[in-house]
Amino acid sequence: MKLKYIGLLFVGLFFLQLLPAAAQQKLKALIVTGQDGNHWWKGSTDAIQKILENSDRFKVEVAVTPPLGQDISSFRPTFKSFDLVVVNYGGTTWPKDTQRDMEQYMEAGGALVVIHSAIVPMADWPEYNKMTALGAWDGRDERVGPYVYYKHDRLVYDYSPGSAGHHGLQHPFTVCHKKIEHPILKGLPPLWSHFKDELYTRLRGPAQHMEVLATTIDDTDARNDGREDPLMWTVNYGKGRVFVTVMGHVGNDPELRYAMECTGFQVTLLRGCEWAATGQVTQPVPKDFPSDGIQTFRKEFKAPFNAK
Amino acid sequence: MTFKHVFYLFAFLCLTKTTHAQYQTSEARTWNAYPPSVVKSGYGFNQSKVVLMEGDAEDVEVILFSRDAGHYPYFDLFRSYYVIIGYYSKEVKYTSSEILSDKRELILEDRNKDGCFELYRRYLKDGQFTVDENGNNLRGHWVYDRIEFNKSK
Repeated sequence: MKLKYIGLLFVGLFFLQLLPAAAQQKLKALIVTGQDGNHWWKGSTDAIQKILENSDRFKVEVAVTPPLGQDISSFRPTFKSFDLVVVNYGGTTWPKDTQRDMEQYMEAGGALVVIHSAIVPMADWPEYNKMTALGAWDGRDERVGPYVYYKHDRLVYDYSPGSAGHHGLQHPFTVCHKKIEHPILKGLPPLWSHFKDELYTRLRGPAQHMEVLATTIDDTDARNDGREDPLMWTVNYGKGRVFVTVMGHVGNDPELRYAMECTGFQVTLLRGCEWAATGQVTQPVPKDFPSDGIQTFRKEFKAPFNAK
Repeated sequence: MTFKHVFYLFAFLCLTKTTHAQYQTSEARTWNAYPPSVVKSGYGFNQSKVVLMEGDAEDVEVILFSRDAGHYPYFDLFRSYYVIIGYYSKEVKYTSSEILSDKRELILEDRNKDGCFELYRRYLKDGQFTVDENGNNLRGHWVYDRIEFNKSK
């Protein structure tokens, strides 16, 4: 009898040990947001937070800058306390101290994920341009680096002069995976349909240490002569890893997040976040992932019960 | 100053004016398709058609200018207006009011089969509309207009 109680005690202790261990496995992520003149950053931040936390892989905190036009000199989050920094921001360039913190964080092996309009701001911060590899608008032109795109199935570094950034009307498009063996994309359909989104093209920047993972053809651009523009890419910055996705527009007129409701966006973002933070992806390929011609949605920003 | 001097001065001025008139030209037109002044702030050229319209002896170019007015999951909204310009005279004959619609259309049809086109448009009355919580099911009072214009007014 005594032995039975002792056994139960050990079993209980064993499970008690497991609980904090499971909690420790959650990665700490920080979303930096607070300014964006053309996007509903509160809505997109809420969606990103839900996507990350509903995966049970991340614990999320949000750092909000002062509003656009106000002094942000005191904005200085402690990046080094986090496994991952997600930039969902399109405003004033961060203060010098904050820039230096971020550079040191990344050089030491930090993780950065950059979403949609976050490739637009801070063109006057050269190291940020290196972290994102490609950018758009904000005065970027041939001085920041080449246009990068695929053409005839070859990666092109195009040094012709011209401004960076273009988007037409929002529309659905087909995502084409170029690096199907990369951990972020491994096992996912190489072609899939993304729901209506604001497609950024004509991106240019330093383009150093980058790997283009996926592209699409902007067939709404009459000037497009067969160019496939990058949609997702990775960058090595110091010892750190960067994942960039240009999908995920959230308009500033109504609080509509339909581009972020796309399962493909959510799954690739989640896998990109995990890869940036750890260098590997442990999440299985979900059954509800879209395919060529098929769009699927996760309106609650979490996997449905039958996704596994 | 004698009368003779006045006469010479008058003759010189007449000659100067005549000489100047030799080189005087009409004001240079610096635009090709449409004058920049017809483009309202935030709008851009969308499409144009050259037609002979009802009540006009001259071919006219009907030009549609539009801008985005909201993106929803399954539709977009646009504000737009038309400008009608004489194809040869380049005179701006008509500028329509702005309308809100889910399409940017230039509907020019000869519905009464008289060889002249009429301009039609479809829009939401007073720019008012509703959508559901998911941004679907666009509802509003749709108005179907035939634009009439009279250059004599």
